[in-house]
Amino acid sequence: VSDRRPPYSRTALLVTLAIIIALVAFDHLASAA
Amino acid sequence: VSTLAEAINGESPRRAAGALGGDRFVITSVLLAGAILGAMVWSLGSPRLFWLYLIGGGLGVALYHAAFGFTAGWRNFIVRRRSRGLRAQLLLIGIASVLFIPVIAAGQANGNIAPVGGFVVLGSFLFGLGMQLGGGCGSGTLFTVAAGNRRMLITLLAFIAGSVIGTLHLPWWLSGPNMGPVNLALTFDPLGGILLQVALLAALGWVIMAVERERHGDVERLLVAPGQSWWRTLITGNWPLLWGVVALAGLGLLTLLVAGQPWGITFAFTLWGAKALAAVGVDMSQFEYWTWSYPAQVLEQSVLLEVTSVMAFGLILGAMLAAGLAGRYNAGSLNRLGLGNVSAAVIGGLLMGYGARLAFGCNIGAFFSGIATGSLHGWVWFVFGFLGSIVGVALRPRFGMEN
Repeated sequence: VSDRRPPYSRTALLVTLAIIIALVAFDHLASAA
Repeated sequence: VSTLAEAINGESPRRAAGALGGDRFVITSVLLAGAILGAMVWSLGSPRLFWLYLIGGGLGVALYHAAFGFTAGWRNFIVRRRSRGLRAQLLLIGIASVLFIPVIAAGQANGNIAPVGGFVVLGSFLFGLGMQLGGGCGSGTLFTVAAGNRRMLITLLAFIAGSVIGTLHLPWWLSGPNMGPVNLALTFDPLGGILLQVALLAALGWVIMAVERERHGDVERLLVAPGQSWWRTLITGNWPLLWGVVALAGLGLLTLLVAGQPWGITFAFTLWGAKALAAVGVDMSQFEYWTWSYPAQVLEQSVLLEVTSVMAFGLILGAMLAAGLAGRYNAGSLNRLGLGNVSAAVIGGLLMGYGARLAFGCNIGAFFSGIATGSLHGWVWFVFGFLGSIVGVALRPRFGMEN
């Protein structure tokens, strides 16, 4: 089943989401400081 | 070959992965990330921003599931004289005009009424050109990046850079002669403004339908019955374009009511770029634009307090979720990257970013929200953005891109 999906890296997806959250959190904390 | 084709159109994964299909890993990851970001927005104690985050998510789902692209819609008319996409946009703006102008006239919200001058003419022309090279407009770039298209990520980064460069020049452009803001709902009174706009949009729709019929002998319909049950289509995508129109108009109205201002996108890009520069030590206050009260204020504040950014985060996750529901996450990245299309992505992104700042908005902020709230600058944007797109379409083959 999985090889018929569009190819993507699950790790890359999780890293992308983590980067988005980290950047937002960093900006939020830096602004609040 | 059949496997690749199935991967692109997403039908096999949908059947294979369960009752409704979709990619559970993508769906679960996005819902988790969305919950974390949502909790961060909620923690600020502003339900208004939280609702805007959810509305942004809805917009992302609608844009992706209806494949509501402004760029391809214009190109289809310019190249093939097929008007379906362009007609959907005109219908969307017509419905939005009827909904938005009374809300603004009642004092419940502000419109995107921007000055009209040579900067709008140049900015929209550059934007229209850039969106054909970049492969997506303001909303299109955002939702295709979210759906995992790596080439569009290049466009987005260039878009952000271009919009910051635009802020460095905007004060100079504004110092020249211009007409100032022109609100058609005040010039003609609200009802007159609505009637004028709807009449113009209907006339345009009639003309482009006549052109399509002349070329093809028929006109493609906005509402084509889905090939599966409506609720399955609602969740897994391939929406009829008319569903996209209704969803975007409704969510646009909700944005106006909750935010007190119409939907916009590119200011978020500008802010993210400026914040990135500030984070690496650039003193943004040396640039006049970033000393103006609102830009200076949001540059200092948390990005989670800025409406267009919060909505953009929602939109990104909404489109990502939709791509997961369709079982097509990252499908756009199956196209190969080459020097030609990467160069076009960079040039297109820079032109769109710069153009959006000069023209007071992109296809959403100026074309959709500008016209729908009665701003003359939106109409000027439409005319010169379309002319720019004609040039952009002509340039695409030079970058190895098909029309």
